[in-house]
Amino acid sequence: MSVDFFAGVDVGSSYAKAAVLGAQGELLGKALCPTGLDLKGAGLTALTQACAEAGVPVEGLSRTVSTGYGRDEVAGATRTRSEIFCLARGAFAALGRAMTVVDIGGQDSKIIYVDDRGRRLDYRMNRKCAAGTGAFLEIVALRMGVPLENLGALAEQTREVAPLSSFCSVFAATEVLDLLRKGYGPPAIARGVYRSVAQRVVDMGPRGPVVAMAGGVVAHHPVLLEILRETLGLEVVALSSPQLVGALGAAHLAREDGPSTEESLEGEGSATMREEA
Amino acid sequence: MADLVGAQLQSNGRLKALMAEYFGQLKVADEGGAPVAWCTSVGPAELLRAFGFQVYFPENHGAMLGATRMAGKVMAAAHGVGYSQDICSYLTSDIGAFLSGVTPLAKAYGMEAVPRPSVLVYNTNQCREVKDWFEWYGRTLGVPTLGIHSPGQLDQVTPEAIELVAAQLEHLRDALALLAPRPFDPAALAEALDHSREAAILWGRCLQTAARTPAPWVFSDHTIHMAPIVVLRGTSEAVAYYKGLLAELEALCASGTAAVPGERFRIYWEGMPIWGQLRPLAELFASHRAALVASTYCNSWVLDELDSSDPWRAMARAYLSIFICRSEGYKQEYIVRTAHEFGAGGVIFHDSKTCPHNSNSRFGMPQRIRATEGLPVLVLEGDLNDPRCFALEESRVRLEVFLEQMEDALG
Repeated sequence: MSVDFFAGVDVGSSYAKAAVLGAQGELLGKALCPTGLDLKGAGLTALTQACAEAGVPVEGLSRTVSTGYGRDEVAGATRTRSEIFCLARGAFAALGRAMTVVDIGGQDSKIIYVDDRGRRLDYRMNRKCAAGTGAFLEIVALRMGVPLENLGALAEQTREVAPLSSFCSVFAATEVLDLLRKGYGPPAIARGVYRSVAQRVVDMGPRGPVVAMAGGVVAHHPVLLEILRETLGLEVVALSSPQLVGALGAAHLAREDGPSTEESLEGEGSATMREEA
Repeated sequence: MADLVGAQLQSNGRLKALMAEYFGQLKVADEGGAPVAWCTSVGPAELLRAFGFQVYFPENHGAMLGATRMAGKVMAAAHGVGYSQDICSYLTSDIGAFLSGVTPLAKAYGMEAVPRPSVLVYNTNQCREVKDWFEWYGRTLGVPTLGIHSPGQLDQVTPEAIELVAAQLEHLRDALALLAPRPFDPAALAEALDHSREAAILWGRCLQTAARTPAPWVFSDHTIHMAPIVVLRGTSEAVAYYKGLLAELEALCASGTAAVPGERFRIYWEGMPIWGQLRPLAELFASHRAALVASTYCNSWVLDELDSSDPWRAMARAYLSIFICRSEGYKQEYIVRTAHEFGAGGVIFHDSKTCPHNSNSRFGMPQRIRATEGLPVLVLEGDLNDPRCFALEESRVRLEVFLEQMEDALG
């Protein structure tokens, strides 16, 4: 008797992520590696590692869905799906209830409204601007002379928030100098940086009952959860392995999808999640 | 690999020849010192032809600058003389090209420069920017600049609005009489109006063929084949061209030929084209088996209300009736009606950064249409000419989500 395995690969601007599911949707393996400049290689590496963890040969996968910036570069993918679809599916698989999914990635941020049956109701993405994304944090940390991985700990040292605009990453870096001149300490500025990211999320209009966080920024900057709770006044939770939510959703879609790319283009109605908007 | 971009029309060759002839005549006029009038795209071209002017359209030049991607290289010259990068990028690319001494007409038609105008004639029925645009040339070249000031945001094209514009047109006739190569000829105006009306009706019928499934041609084709209805409005050549195009399109309909093989999605495009990305976007849509079957930009260019029996009021009515001159409510109703008429399952709003007058996504219309019609909508940020305002990869994500929504709606 043959056993089915399904994979999702999410090649993002910073990291490639992969997840492998068994026939019942159980998570068997997952992996993550830096994307670098080789989108194809990064996707394959993540998939190979996830398969190794699952104990499944890559060629033994029944179907693979790819998503993310490098979705077209994933060898062996039977279908590509949008990040919005994959994130919503992955988040619903984890929480199983109505929510706003907030994904803050390296270069973009997005929110997706999901109802209590897992249906995507609507979504919003940031405008063509890196403010409020991982790139924003990188630029400001660089200007502050703080290693990116230490920025969160710095922000946790104080409750004071330096007022930083969320208009533009480049100008925000310049604003940091002005804030230093005004006497704010690095911890308050760091907290202001996270508040600025949180404000970008607020601007996109997340709503309750719960805000579920995905993406690399919350994975590496857990302080953002606390600041988002303060800013939003809503229940805010981090999804398990937040960077892998898109890959996990892609794997679920692979499991639920038709048998091949051409056939599945005709058979989208078989997908379990439906768009209302 | 098969060419994924739109219809393979035999008319493409005729269009190329027709445009070469048009620009060839402009070149001859320019070199021989014959009078050339510059006109906005929905300005009073028929009146100018009745006076014997060769008519040149800077907006067509702007579109060529965008399509050839020259715009991004020349706009800085216009910014340098004070024309902001936030204003119409047709204007900034056209003036920038003039200041830089370059034109896409050189490679396409052997014209080293745009033809020197004898008079500049605008109509603000599109936007106020055309007035500023033409006035720059008027000051720079020392050429008279004349204009029609149209009321905008019209729910109805009222008798009062028609009288207001008709009176300006008659005043314009008197002003042009002092500059024109020959006296005003009412019969020539009547002939130009008849040609315009006939060509407009034929153009509308050509577009209407895309209402059939599968569509024999799509938006990327429409934007190319609309050139004669813009630059040859009022001529018998435009009429003849669209008769031929219509015959070809109807034959394609009869044979069931699809511009997008395996057409699955039908989409309405609202707003300006993104000229420099026509081909990549057409390829992207085609790769998803999505056909852009109708658009505000091309479908609203039907000046079928021109009437030679009452020329001044008919011109006023036709020029005021264009989509861009109408109210938000009219526009929404037009988009919904046209989308349904063409069987579009979704609407893409191009939010063109430097063209607020032709961007209808900024006051809640997409959300209203989605709520009332249940149609998936997408707002795509870009620009008609400024390449700094559009990122294909970033837009690809949004487009793919939109197509997923349409897929879901198909069930």
